[in-house]
Amino acid sequence: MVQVNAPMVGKVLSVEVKVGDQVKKNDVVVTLEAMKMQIKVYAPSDGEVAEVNVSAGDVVNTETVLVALK
Amino acid sequence: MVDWDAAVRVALSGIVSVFAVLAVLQVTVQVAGAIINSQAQKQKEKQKA
Amino acid sequence: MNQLIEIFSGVGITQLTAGNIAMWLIAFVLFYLAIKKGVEPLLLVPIGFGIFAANFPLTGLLEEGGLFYIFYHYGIENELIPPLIFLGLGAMTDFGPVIANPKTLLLGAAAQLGVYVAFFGALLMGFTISEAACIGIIGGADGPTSIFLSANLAPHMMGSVAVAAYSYMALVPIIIPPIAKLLTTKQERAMVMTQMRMVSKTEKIVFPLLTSIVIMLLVPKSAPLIAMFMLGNLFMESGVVERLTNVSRDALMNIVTILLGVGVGSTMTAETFLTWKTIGVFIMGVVAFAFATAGGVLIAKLMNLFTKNKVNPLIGAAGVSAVPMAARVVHNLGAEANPQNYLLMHAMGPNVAGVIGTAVAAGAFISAIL
Repeated sequence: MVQVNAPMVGKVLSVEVKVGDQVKKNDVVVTLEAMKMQIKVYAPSDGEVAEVNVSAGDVVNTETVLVALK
Repeated sequence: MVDWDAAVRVALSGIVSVFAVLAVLQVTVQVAGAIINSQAQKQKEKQKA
Repeated sequence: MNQLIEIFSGVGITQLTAGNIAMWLIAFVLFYLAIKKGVEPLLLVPIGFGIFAANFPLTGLLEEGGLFYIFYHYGIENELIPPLIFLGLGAMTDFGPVIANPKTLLLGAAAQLGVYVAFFGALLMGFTISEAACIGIIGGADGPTSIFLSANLAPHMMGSVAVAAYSYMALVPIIIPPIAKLLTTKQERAMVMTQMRMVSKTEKIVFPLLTSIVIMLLVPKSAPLIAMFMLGNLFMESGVVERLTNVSRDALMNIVTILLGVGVGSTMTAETFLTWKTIGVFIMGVVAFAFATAGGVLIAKLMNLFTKNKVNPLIGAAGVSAVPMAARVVHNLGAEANPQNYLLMHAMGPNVAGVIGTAVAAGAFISAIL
């Protein structure tokens, strides 16, 4: 299980994956907004999306697990 | 004509003060952070006990 | 007949000069940049209109008691408005990244090297020491500080210095990347920095007080800017004066921005602006930005030689304040080299430290020159 944390405090703009999706390393999983800038969060490794914990509009910080891969 | 002595003096005093001030600030912030965090830690331990 | 001539000489159009019209054209260029290209519109629209309106004959706007004279004299010459802008900036600046990683303060200092390179460059071009200081400070990428320093040292240069500072700030995404790339390897840019620690509320409240003590004791002449900057920050971090925080960063900030823009624009009359000096200001301004970027990156690399908790040298480039644009540019450069690299928050450290650094550099110039 690989947990993908938010890299910084920000607001979730969109979630690009859903549970069961196959992702490759460096695929975009979530787009955040911080400092009026869109930050794309990429998958750290290949895998299948096991859980998605956030949805658009959520405010997240570095302790928030956005998605988990297996 | 430019008074180069004065110019060098102005620039040097500027560079030295910018670096000195921010270095002092760095140390102060670091120390203050350490003190505040150790205090907070102690408080937490007290509450646990 | 004589009466007719008298009437006509009181009509503006008979007194309009070629210089006036040239200044209108410059104002129109600024309007174009601001409205069509979105370049710093909040400042360039009022500055542009200030230039435009100041270049009509017989209006009396600039004479003692005239409207623009009042904006300029009481707002800028008396150093009222730039510190008020700093109050608003303080109320929107999160010093968390600096507190979590105080080393970034040194990177904020390093980026001021560009100020001094441009200072000497301007001296070589034949500017006086006071004028060169105002040109150098453009490298700090901080509009209010540049205006503050020119009001103190070289009021006749204020218009060109302010316009150069704001235009180059808008060009940060073009100026920083080539220099930062030249001075780093892809491997260095790809370096991921360790997660930043959490900063407690107490630390955030203590920070503005500590900073005030250190800076105002060591460089008293930067007090007007630093005092207001830290007051605004204390408003925000204390969390108990939300009304004051909000008014500082919204209403008050917007009001003084109008007065500042028009006041600065009104200093740009044909006689003061259409000179070779203005060209010199723009040339040295870009030199200042370039060397500020280089200084930040190189000192970051130097720092890495001595510390074990290394920083990505790119964040040094964010010491060129232009908050938060420089930090965004740095983030993108890092992500380009390695998609897993999130530098934005790390870059905010040198970014806001650069604002402090520039204010200190301005204070040091004032105390060394006056």
